[in-house]
Amino acid sequence: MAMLNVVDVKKSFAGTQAVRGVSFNVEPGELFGVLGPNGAGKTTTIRMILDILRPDSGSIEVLGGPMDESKKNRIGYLPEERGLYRNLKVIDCMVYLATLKGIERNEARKRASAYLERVELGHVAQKKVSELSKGMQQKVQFGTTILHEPDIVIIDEPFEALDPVNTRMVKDLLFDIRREGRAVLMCTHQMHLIEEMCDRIVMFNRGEIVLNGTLRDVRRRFAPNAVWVEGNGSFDNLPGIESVQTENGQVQLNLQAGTSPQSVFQALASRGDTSIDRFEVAIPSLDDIFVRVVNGERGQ
Amino acid sequence: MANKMLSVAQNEFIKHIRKPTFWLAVFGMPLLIAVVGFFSQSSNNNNRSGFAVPGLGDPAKINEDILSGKLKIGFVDESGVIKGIPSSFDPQTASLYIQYPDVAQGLAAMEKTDIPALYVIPSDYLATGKVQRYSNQVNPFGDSLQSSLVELLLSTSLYPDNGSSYAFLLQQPTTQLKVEGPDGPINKATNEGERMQSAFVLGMGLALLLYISIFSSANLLLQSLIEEKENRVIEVMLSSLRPRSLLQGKILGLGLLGLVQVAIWITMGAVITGQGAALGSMMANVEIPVSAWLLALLSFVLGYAMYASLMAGIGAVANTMRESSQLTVIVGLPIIIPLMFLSVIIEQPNGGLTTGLSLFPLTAPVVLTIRSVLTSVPLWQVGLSLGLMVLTVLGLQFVTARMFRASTLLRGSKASFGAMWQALRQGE
Repeated sequence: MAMLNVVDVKKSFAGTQAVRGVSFNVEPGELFGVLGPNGAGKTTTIRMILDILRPDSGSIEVLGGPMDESKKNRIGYLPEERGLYRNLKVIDCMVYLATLKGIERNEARKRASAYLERVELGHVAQKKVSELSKGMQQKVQFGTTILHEPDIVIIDEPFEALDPVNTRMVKDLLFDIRREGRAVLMCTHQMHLIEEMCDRIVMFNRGEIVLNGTLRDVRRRFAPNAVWVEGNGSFDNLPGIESVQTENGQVQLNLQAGTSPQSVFQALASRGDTSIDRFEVAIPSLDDIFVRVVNGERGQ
Repeated sequence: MANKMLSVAQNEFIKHIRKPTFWLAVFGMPLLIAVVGFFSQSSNNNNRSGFAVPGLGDPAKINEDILSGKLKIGFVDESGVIKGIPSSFDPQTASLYIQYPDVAQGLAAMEKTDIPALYVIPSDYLATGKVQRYSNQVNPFGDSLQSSLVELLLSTSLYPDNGSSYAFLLQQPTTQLKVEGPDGPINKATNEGERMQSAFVLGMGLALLLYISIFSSANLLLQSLIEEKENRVIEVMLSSLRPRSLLQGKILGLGLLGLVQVAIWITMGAVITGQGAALGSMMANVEIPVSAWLLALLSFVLGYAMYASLMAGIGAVANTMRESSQLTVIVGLPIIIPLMFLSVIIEQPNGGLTTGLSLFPLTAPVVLTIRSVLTSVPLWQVGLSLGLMVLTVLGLQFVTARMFRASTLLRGSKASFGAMWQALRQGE
């Protein structure tokens, strides 16, 4: 059973179509990445999943059926723009938001204390939220998202304002959630984190999904049919090579249609005057793919 | 969902009651009123040139009433204190009094509207100092003048050396006597005057209580909503519970806070001025049916829920406190309407205007309460009025919850009619 199933969802605001027939699903134990430029329809889609907005058409199934009030307790949400009571004590704020997810007050306090200790914020439990640094507030906010142990965690830019140490900490928490068979839907512009963490992605552009699949599949779709080579000797005049580009000591051999990387490797290896330090099928980064998609390219 | 609503209510209550600004408002407001009152009193005393008669009001008006012959005082003396109209009274003053041999004849005269009220000085008057009054008159303020004239008659009869006349009345305060209603209705004439006063006090009290509760709570409600819209907590909240539950929780929590504030003010006021006992005594003198008290309580709760929902609606639409303040005043206006028509409501508790105002939901809380004290309101009207109030509360919360949803997502921009209309069409 999919944790989340979005089918052909559309939404308009005052005549502007913000989401145009979006479909995707999120499976248990999956870290699912949502990419896209600003205004692409990601947040609107998330709000529809959370039942903050209603779709004009299409269907959204959460945990095997339509969203209802009890299911809200099984979802954790970290919005892009943070929402904490600045004048409340950290622990009180966390406990309050957890009670709204159906956790009993004492249990919520226990869990909040344990979480704060885990993320090294035990000493600020009695401080007001406004007294915390941005990074600390971010960790507190993340805690309010997962304190009730939701089956689905929806997080928008979870690593914003976090230093590398704290980023690692939050990543570990997300990996734990995945390991426990729960699902994470993560929106971020930090492509390297998507590449590092996510099993599958969708990319939004102008209200539609323009890419959907595993990272490997998506990259392959945008792969330039080239190989990267590093080493000594000449890389010219190889069979099946269309052109050669050199940048920062790395050579990119652009292959002719029908030429396989393996045949190029064999050709290189058979040359006595050439040594190979590195040979890699050229795969674009998500950053590159993002820019290309936003500029109108859809891949192969 | 009820638990979540209560969580919101609890959080709102605790969050605000811990704020120093709340306690500053609770104790600062009475202090301010006391200071203003003190200076105002001092100023009045300095400016006074002449006489002061408790409860008499404007001397020019009294004079006018006397000259036009409107003022007549009917009395029955069972105590034997009054040996005729004192000779020291000037003819004009003496002509105000009509003595009846017994209560039955006095009441008959009152029924014929020869006199607006009948004062009965009982046989144990000298021991108790109490006088009974019967009246069909519907002006709660008229009684004080008549009572003062009875006081004048009694004090002159008891202490003839003081001299007595209308001129004396204007020059020297009389000893105030305790005037009270009879134990129960006699024929159709009952202690209506005091009932009017009670209705007036209850109506005014309810209106003021509503006003203070609503506007002290509404300010907090608006602050709370705007704060949550600004810092985006509201989006997290809406992912956890329905807008209506959020709204109801806030209204409940802040409503209780408002009641605490009002209760503290009333207690402080009663203790400081010593009026609590007097008010209690006045109310105790009049038999206000339990049903009227219950209706007053119900009206208050529904009234608060209605106005608080309206205020929450303002909070949903407005992005800043400044934007909201103008709308707040407009929304609060209907509470004042019953006060503007108070004399009509009291004089004609079953009249068309009064009935209309008691059915119109925004004025019903105050008007229905006053009517229920003054008269026997037809059951269908009570039911209809309460039903309309309940429907209004539900309708307002229905609309406000949806506006909430729309405006939450339009932070920083003015909520357009289009967006609001779209939100209203959405299910909850």
